[in-house]
Amino acid sequence: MSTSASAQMSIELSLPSELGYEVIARDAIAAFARRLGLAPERIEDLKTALCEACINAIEHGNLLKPELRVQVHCRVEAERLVIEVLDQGVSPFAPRGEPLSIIEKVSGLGSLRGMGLLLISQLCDEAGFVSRSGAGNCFRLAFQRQAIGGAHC
Amino acid sequence: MLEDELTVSTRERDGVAIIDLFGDITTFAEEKINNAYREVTNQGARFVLLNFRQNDYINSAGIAILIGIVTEVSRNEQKLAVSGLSQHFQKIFRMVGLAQYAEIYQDEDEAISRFKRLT
Amino acid sequence: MPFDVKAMGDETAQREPVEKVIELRLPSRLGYERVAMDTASALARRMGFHTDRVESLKTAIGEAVTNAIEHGNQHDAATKVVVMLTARDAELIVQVADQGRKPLDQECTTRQPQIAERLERDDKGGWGIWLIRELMDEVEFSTAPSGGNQVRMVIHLER
Repeated sequence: MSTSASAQMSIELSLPSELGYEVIARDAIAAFARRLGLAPERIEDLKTALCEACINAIEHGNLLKPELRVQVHCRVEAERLVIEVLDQGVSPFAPRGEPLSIIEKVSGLGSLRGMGLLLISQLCDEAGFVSRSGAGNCFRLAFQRQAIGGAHC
Repeated sequence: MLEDELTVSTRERDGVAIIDLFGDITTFAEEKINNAYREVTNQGARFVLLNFRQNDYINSAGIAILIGIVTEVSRNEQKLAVSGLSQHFQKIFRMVGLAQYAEIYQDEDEAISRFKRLT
Repeated sequence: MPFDVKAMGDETAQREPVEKVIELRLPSRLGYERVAMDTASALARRMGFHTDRVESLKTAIGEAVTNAIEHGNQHDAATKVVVMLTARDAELIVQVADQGRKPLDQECTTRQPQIAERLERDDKGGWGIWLIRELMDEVEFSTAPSGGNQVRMVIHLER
């Protein structure tokens, strides 16, 4: 699929930057992914990962300011479903190397929170911050699309 | 991709031609539904049951297709019934007036037992 | 998790209340109305609407977005349909806007189709706007300054 065609196939969701709205994004995008033929267990992965990414954007990127917005852009590529979560970057993401593992956290290294990124990275085929023109952070999640149309049935 | 979410199949039970409709009834359903109707009609069906299964989404374009079937059914002197609709779509069918032209039953079994009595 | 719109507003009670709007931009391609239906249904369920009201909302929003794709935007892939969902304490407001490739015939917005008459015609359609009016509590069609068609629908939350 060409870039222009996939751009046309994108959906954009914009939410108030307020905890609770991440579940609306989750349900909306999960329903979309189901219609695209993603396997049920991948959709569960997507739901958890997307919620974590939205909460990061609401809490950290936008510092819980309800007048700000979180954008969720969802693009359908030939082999992948790509989701980008954008905040308004009140607080830019500062990379701190690899997220701490559960073992490091349980042994008292670092905060018990901040498990979101670790969780996301294990649930998606691709996950990470991407550079973006203009203010704000952009976190990208991607899922491989397989067995489209239920070829295995 | 998002267009085609309907599977249509036909079968016969106790003298009733059943058209099973799995999925969404929208503008994309027209060819499949009309083909299935033509198939059972060509086989001489007098009683036609549209058996809705997992129909999460029936829109106005889908309703227009069903009104087309109603037209054909009266032209071909057949009888039409529907079963398996959710409460919501039963309401929509009554609102639109489709209930005047097709008996509405809760499920296939009820349709088969009661539809036949109208003969 | 319960989606309590009131509780979510508590932190901002001292400030000017911020209208909580979810905005969805969709390609003008049939099938994508389902994304709007699913999103609205997720919101409405969490606001506490009964199942039958959620179903009515889904049907109405599906019709509105389908109209925008087919008529307003003439299936033009370069255009978008914008859906805005505003959750208030006692109602959900849904606005659907297209880019007005073709203006909506105002006459269609009030017509009441009759099935007996439709059976005689080749065109069996024309039920969409009527359904929206039947299913929603408030419905208003308008034209944006840019020329796009807009419909604003409200569904009341009955407690």
